Amino acid sequence: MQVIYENSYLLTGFVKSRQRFPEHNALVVNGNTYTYRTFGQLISNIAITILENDKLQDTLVALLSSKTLTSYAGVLGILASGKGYVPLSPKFPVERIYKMLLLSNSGIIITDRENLSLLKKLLSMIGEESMTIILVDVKDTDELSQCYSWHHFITEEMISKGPEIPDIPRVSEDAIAYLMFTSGSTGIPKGVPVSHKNISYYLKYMSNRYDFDENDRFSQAFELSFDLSVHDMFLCWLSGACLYSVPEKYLMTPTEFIKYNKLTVWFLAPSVAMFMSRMKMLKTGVFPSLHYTLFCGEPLNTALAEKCQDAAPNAIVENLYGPTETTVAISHYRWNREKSQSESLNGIVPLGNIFGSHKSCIIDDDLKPVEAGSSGELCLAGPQVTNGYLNIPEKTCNNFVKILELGGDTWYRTGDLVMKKDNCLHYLGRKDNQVKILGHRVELQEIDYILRRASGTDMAISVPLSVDYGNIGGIVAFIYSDRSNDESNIMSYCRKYLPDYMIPQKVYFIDNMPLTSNGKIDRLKLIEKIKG
Amino acid sequence: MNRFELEVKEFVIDHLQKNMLKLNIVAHEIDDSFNFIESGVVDSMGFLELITRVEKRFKIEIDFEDYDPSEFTYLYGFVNCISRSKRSGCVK
Repeated sequence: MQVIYENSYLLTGFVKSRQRFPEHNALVVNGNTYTYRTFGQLISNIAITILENDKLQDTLVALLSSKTLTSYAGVLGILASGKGYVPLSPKFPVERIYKMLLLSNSGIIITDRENLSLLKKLLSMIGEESMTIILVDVKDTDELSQCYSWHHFITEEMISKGPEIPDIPRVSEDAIAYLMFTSGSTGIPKGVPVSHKNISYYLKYMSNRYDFDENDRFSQAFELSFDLSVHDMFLCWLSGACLYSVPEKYLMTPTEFIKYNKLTVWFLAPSVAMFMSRMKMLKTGVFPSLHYTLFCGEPLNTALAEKCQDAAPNAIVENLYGPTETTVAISHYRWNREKSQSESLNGIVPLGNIFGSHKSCIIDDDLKPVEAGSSGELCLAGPQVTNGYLNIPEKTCNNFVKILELGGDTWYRTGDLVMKKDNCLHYLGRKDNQVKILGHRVELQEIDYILRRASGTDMAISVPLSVDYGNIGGIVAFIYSDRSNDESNIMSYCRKYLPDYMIPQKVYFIDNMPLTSNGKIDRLKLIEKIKG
Repeated sequence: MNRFELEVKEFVIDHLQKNMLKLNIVAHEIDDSFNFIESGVVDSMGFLELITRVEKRFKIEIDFEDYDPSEFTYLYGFVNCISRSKRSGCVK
C-alpha cells in the first residue's frame, strides 16, 4: 500500500499562528506568559535536540511532565521532530508510568526539574537499557550521571538551538501522533495509538464548527495524559489564541481563574460543574466573558447544562462525546433553552449527532443492527476511528469489528448503550463494568485485580458510588475477610498501583459476599448495601 | 477564634478524624493552616460531604462564590467562610 506523506497538521497550525502573531501570547502557565515567538523557539530547540540524539530511530518519545512550560513545549517539540508523544502523568504511581513507558518502547524521555525524584525512581526500575533523558530546565546532572552512568543525560545547556520557527515535518498519515492509555481489565493499561490522520480530521472539523480566533483565551484543565487536552492545545494554537493552564488549586473550582483571566473557551468534565454548582459558584451571569462552554467525558444532566448556560449567558453550551479510540470526540449536541429539556431523555443531555464523514450504528449482542428506535451498543466508523490497541490483538479483535450487514467498514464498539430518536443519539448507560470518574474511563476489573492482589483473596470487588444523574463520585471496595485492620495495607497497596481517581474511598470487610445466580459477585446487591 | 468558630473547627476535625488516622495524621497536632485537600484527607467528593455535614449541623448555607480555593481548603479559612456565611445571614 502506498504511504501518503503530508506536512504535520498539528505543527502547521502552530507554525502559521507563529508567523501571523509572533508577539501574541501563546501560553500562560504557572503565572508566566510566553509569546508565540519565545514558545516557538523552545519547541524548535527541543525538536532539534531529539533528532540529534535519536540513535534508535524511535517513533515515540515519552514526556514525563505535567502542565509546565516543558510539558507544552515538549508536546510540540516531539511533534516537530516528526515523532509521536507519549504523555506520562507524574500523578500516576511510578509502577504504572513504568508499564506505560515499556509498552511505548520509547528510548527518549523529556522531563523537567519538578519531576527529578520521580525520574530517579523510574530509572531505578528501567535496569540497564540505555536511554536518552532530556532535562529541559535542569543545569546539573552530576548525581544522576553518577548513579545511572549508562543513560545519556542532556541538560539545559546541552540543548541545541533550532531555527526561530520550528520546521514542519512531513509525516505518514498513519504515523502515531500520540499514544494515550485507557484503563485495562488485566491491570495493564491499554495503549491507544492515535494517528495524524485521526487527529487531523478532528481538528479540521472542530475548527470549522467553532469560530475561534486569535482573541480567544482557552482553558487547559485536563491532564496531558487525557485526550481532551489535545482539543485544548491544538484548537487554541491553530487559532492563534492563548492557552491558560489551570493551576492545580483551581481544577475543581475554576471560578476565580475564569473571571480573572477573562477566558472565552471553557472545556470541562461535568463533574467539575457539578462541584461548582454545589458550592454555589455557578450563579447567573458570573462568566460573561465565555463564548463557549464545552462538556465532555461524562453524562451531562440537563439541570447542570441549564445552570452553566445561565452562568455564561453569552456562551454556546455544547455536549461532546467520544471514546479515546475514536479520537477526542465524535458527536456533539448544542444546548438550546427552548428545545433541549424536551429533547433530552431521563434528564441526560443527548449525545446529539455524529460528526460529518463518520457513521454510527446501534447493534445487539449478536452484532446485528437493531431496529429503528431500539436501544443497543453504539458502534462508530470513519476517519477518526483508530486502528486498535497497541500490541493487544485479541482486545483489538473484540472491539474493532466488521458488521456483515453494513459492508466493509471497521466499527469500534464503544460499550455505550444508546438509542436514536429524531435522528439524535441518546446515552442510556454502560454495557459493561466500565465507569467514568472525573471524566476518566475506569475498568472496575482493573481495581478488582489490584484489590485481589492486595488482600490475597479472590473475593474482592470494587463498586462505584453514584452521585447523581449517572455521574460517579468514586469507588468503594468490598473484601471477603474478617481482617478489618488490614484497611491501611490495602489502601497503601492501591496507592502504589492505581491513579488517585481509582483508589477506593473506603474498604468494607464483609463475611457474606452476595453472589448472582451465575456465581459471580453481585455488584448491585453491594450497591444496595451502601445505600442501606 | 470566637466560640462559634471553635465549635465549627472541632466539628470539622471530628468529621475528618477517621481519614486522618488512615494517613497517620494526629488530629490534635494539626494547626489552623492544615490543608484538607493537599494533605489527601479529603478529595473533591469528600469535601462536598464535609460541606453538607457542616451545613446540616449548623443550619447554614455556605456560599463559596467570592472565595479563592486557597482560602477555603485549609482549616482556618474554611472555618472563616462558615463564620462569614453565618454572619451574612445564609441561614437555612
